[in-house]
Amino acid sequence: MKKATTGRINIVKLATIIVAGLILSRLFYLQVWQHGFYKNKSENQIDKIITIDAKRGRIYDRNKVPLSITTPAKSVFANPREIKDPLMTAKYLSPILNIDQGRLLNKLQSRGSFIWLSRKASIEVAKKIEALKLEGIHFIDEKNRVFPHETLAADIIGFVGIDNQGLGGIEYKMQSLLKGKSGKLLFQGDPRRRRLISGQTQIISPSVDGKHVVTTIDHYIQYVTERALEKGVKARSAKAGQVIVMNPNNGDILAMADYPRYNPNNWQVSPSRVRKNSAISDIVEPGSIFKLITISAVLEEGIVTPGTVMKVPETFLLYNKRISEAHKREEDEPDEYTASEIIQKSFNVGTSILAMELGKEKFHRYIELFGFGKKTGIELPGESAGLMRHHRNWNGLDNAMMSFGQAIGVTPIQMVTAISKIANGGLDIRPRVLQYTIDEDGTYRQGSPIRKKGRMFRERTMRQVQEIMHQTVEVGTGQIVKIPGYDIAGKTGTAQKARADGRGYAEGEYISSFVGFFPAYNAEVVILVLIDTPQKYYYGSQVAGPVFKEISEAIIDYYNIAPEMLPVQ
Amino acid sequence: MDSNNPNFKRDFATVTYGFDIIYRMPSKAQKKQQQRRLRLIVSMYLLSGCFALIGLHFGIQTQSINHKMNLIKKDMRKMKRENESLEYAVLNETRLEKIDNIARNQLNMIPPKKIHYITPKNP
Repeated sequence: MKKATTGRINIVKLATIIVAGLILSRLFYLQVWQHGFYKNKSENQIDKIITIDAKRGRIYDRNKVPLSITTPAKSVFANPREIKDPLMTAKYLSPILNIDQGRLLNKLQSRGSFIWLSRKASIEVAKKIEALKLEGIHFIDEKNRVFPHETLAADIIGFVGIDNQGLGGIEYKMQSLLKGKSGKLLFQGDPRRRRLISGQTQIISPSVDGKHVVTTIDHYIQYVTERALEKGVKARSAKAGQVIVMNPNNGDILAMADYPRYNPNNWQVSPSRVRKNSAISDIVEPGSIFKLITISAVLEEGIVTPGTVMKVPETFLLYNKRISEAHKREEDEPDEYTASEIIQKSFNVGTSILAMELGKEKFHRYIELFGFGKKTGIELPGESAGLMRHHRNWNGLDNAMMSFGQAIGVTPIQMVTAISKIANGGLDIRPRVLQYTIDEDGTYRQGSPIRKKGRMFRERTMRQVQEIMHQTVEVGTGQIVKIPGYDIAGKTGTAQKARADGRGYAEGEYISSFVGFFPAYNAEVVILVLIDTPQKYYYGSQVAGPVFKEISEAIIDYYNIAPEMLPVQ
Repeated sequence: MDSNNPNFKRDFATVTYGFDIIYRMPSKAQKKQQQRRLRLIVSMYLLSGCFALIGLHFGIQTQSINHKMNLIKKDMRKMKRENESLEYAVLNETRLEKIDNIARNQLNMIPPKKIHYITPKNP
């Protein structure tokens, strides 16, 4: 009996030892063998990483007036499961959020536990909703990119998406600089991401705010330019228009207007054709303003002087194509003109003769020297290179046609840059919209260099062209832009508009243009005006001229430019 | 234990616990030393208490200052946010287009039609 009891006790002992051994082995396996794995698993469950958003840099005009800033905003979301009375909630929220009550009710009655009601609502709107203390309505702090001047310089500044990523203009082009670098914060929290009181907080990488961008734009000049352009386009019931104001000495773009405009705060409502910057992306046949390139080339080559007298017939037959003037010549008008007068009076035939004297190889080289056929390199997205064929691919007519701005496609930015080379006395210049970038504290500055490569044309030649342009305004086709007391240099242009299908020119559709600068012999500002498809009147002097004059007067007043001579009272 | 031994003295423990506690009478020097030790211990306790109180006081003060700092930081962040919102409102209200519209439409201002230039007599 005693022996049997001892045996049973031994069995129990053995079983206990085995069970204890198994438990210890398991513990050893979990605590020692798999220590790393479970430690990581535990840390991953406790450690939460949140992203600290960097503050997006601002965009300023040249006088540090903010054009694009970031403001706090609150996104409003609902948890429909927490809402007891969706009807009343919708009734209260509808007028504040400006959302239809029925639509809002549908959202609030949905099955999910998270529904956006308004992304990036203003703080005022959020405060109104908070004051209602509605159940199931929550907020998330966010940052909103806003454009306080609304449509002003929208084509240059661009716009951003819902997550503040640049989608157009400088906002897009300078995205990497403006956005900064997001940081990472590690904290210990529960599964609902609530911070544990005993937990630690550690910044893994600090956020670095984006740099501010200072542009070359002057917001006052931009405003008067946009106002004058809008007035000009509406006065002639035109389709669109562009104006570029540039400093010919350093390439600074002071204003760049493109009508119709759009509001970058609400860019979604505007079609993409309105949002694109036509001043750098649209290709147009420049028309008579291109005659300035032709005369510059022939004067530089010494083929003629401004005073060389030439016989200029009214029409000119070339390869079965009759080249004629825009205006019918009066019977008593002479048929001999100086090279200067050919430009002043904008004769197509005379300019064609000059180009043919020059020859297509040389003409092509000069067109390239003025910067056509390649991008200017302006710091904006979507720039086109224009359309220019190599002279080997020119047909017999092209040389003559190009001399007065047809059979070639240029962008407005290329045209204004080319004229800047005449205005600054023959120096190569590249347009720029970015001046420099600065840090949040405003100490570090990184400049965008002025790209002035050197002399391209003889100064004497350019002075001659300046004189021709001045005379064009004094006695030629550009008299409408005369401002008493000031020497203005300019040239009018009226180009037939090419058909969309590429088959010839559209009937009755023109692009009216005016390009000029002042003071004529020491230019500070170059202005190019293009008006697309004006109605009733279409000559450059009638349509684009008044826009040029209005902008010039405002700039003279703003810069306090002294008159060259006092006007006769 | 010999209770008649004059070197031993019966005390209250005999009555209380029913047995004798026999101890040697401390000498004067020993008494002084004991008193000194006692004073030292008491002063140590007092000093520690003081330190503890001072520590507690500073601890509370630090916590209170930290709390105030956090509140101030929170206020600062709030003010910064409000400032940014106000800056936007100011810029929006003072934009040239708005000023121009008010000048033309509400104040009936018009741009000058003719500008007269005056030549200074002694330039």
